[in-house]
Amino acid sequence: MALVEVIDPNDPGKPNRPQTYQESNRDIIRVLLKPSSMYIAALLLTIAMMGYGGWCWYQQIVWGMGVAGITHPTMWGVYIVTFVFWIGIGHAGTLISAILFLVRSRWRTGVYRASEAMTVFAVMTALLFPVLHLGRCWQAYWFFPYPNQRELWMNFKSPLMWDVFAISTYFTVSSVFFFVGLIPDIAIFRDHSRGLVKQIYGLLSLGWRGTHRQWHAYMAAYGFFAAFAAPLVLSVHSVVSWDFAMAPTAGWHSTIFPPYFVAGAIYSGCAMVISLLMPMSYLFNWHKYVNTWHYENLAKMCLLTSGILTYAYGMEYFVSWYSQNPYEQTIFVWRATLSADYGWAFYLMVFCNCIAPLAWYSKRMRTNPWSLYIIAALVNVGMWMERFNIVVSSLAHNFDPATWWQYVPTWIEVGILVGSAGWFMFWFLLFCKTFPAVAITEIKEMVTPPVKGRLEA
Amino acid sequence: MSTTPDMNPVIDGIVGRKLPGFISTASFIAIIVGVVSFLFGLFALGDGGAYAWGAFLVGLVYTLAIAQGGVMFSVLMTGTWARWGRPVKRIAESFGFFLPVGWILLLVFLLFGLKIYAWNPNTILSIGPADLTPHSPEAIASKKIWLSSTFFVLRQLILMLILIGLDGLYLYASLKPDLVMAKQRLGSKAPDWWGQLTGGATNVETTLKESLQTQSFLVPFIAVAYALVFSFMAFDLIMSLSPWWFSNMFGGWTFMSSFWLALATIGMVSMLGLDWLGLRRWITPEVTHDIGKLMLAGCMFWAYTAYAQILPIWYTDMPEETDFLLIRMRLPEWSWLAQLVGITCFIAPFTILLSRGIKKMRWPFVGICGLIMVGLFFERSLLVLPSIWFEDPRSWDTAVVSVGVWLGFVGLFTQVVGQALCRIPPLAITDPYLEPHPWDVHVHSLDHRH
Repeated sequence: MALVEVIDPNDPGKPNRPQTYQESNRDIIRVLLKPSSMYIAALLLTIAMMGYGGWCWYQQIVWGMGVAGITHPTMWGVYIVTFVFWIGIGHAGTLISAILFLVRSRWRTGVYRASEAMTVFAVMTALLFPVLHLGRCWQAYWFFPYPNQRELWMNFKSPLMWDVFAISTYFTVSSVFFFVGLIPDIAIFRDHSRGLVKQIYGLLSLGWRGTHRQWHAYMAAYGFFAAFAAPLVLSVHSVVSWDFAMAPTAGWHSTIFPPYFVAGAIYSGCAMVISLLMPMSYLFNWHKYVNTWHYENLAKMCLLTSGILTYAYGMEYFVSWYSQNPYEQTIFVWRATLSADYGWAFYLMVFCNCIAPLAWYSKRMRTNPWSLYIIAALVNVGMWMERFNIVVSSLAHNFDPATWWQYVPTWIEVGILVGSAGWFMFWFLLFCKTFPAVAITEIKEMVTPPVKGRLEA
Repeated sequence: MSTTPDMNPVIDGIVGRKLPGFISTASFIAIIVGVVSFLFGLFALGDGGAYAWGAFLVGLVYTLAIAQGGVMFSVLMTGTWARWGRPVKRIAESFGFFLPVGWILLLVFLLFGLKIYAWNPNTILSIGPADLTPHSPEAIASKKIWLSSTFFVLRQLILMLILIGLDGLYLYASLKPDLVMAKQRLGSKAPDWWGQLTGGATNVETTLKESLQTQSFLVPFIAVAYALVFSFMAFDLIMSLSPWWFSNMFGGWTFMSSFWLALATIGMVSMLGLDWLGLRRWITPEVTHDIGKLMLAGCMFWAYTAYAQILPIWYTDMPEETDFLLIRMRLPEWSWLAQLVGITCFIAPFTILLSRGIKKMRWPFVGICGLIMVGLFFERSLLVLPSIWFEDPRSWDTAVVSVGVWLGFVGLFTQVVGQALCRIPPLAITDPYLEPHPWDVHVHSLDHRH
């Protein structure tokens, strides 16, 4: 017996978990009932956002890329910033589901399914942006190698091509991993539905019966995918970071970019999980399954990754000075000059990413819903700003002073940004209403099993 | 308060514990070999002692990495409430006893070895700073204050002292309740210094509560201090050997590989000291399996960060960056060592550690830990030596100096840590997280050890 009271990070405490298997089934299957008016309102809002974004895109197709603010030398603007942002958001899901599974961290149980869904939808959203940025979106298939009469191939030496392969691999593996995890839970939905819906769930559950043999195969597959997906968490955003680091552009060419981008991605992803699950938990009454225990652990993950980011920001500044490279020094000083074009963005980034999360060192702040929600939202703003700082400032203030100018996003670009958020939320809301967004089978592992004779004992 | 029955053999084992004769003799021989090799390098290589001081620097950063990495392992366990590594927590903490010795050796190096730096006006290198900066002659001149001997020495000594101070507070907090409990059982057989160290405390529960609070409080401070101090140690002691070269990941890469090196050393000491320390009941194959998995992750992370550093430099092909890599990877004088590093730090450990069985078998596990330890010695040598030795290193005399000095450091480390483990409980006996969590099920729990 322990000498002192033991804090068990693996135990959410009795009020924070269901007491019986039936209770967990009932609570999660409840999402299939008639949607609430608040849910419908949220869904309509996302559709409106998507509609606005779509209309902006239509304007861009009709009038050409001139309606967007990107022009020489800032040929990468909001679209690339937002692309990197959504790819980053897509990292937390696989981290939570795969890496935390491998390190036997139990708090992932309540949140990993929703995080995985977030991953898939975030990558789907990110994939829109290279197409949007292309201008002639009907030629998007040129991204991929395909046999053609003129034997034209894309430039395999370009990091942008590496992106295509890295992201498509990540999207494929994340989706399969996500689906494999869903199978036993879809079977529960199947068993509790009727008619056509039952047939659809039956099809998706791949004949799951919950036999010993099926569980054995399932666990082996899940473990394999977890081990397979974990390195991808590192690789994808590393490749994205190389879009910048491979160029000799001042402010971009940096060896620390890969781990710094990965840490930033996990940071923004965990903050987004908090931002998404807090209203969802309220909307679907999941408090027993997704609660302060999970949010506090997510906040701790954010604290760790915020520390790594702050370290990376500091190292970038130190080494830019240490290198004595005048171009590097100039860009870093310019970024941090408040009166310069993007000084406000730099300080907003520092406040949101490095200072605001420090409040979470206090347990009271980590467990307060308002503090959690507000700081998580600030982190998301800060992470978008970080990418804005990297992408835009280095291009707007490049090697040729004659071309320096201030890039300002147009309302078309802002509209498409809003539309992408609508697109992402639309899929997420739809998923939460039609699939088990909380992993029922893993939740049951935390419930005391119904042993014969227990009541008599 | 009485001790739990399981802890009594661990506590009783402390009385009269001595370093096994073979280990003690071997480490003393290694120290002598180290001193002789260093003196040989100092006077016989004809380079004014540059190579010998380079080998000294390799040994210094190597052993400091293990010592601090061991403390970081314990800090990691505390910070994450992890249970799996608790049986080796005290072994990891015992590495921290080398830190004061390491600080003295750092002082010796900074006082007498600074002449191997090209930026130093009194450098003994055969080519001076001007010859080393073909691409940016102003680079060193404008860093004069940062790379001035006084600021350099003070910075390193003070930063390391701050880190050692924080480590000391942490180790004291971790050790105190165990000493109180062990003293209660051993009575007059307990060493007198235990009583002095614990300040006469007798209540295990109160001491333990305070200890856990202090440890948790110190975790973020030590983590931040470790990252910063080891980064600046890497920038100053290693990177500034080539003063025109820079990589902003170099600091992070070094402190992460230091942790990986410590992990391999923890695995090695745990297995070698299994019976000597009486920990067979605690350090089970499940524990080594988990250490092995973390070592595999460390191996992959090392390779990832090494590749992530090399690729942008190779791709952008800017002369001020590529020189550092070309000397190490393309010159035949050094490329063999770079290939050896690739094999011993990534290809071999990655392939071997994929095996579940090896992570659970005592002697093969010792072998893989040893391989990683040797690999990281090669890696540190590759980072340091090409910056100060401009001739072909493939000769018996340079090999004797490199390996001999490194063995000396390893021998000294073994003596210090071994003596510490003889005098303190080798297990965190009051740690409430020592037992595995009842929910943790190791599916593959077959004991491959025998």
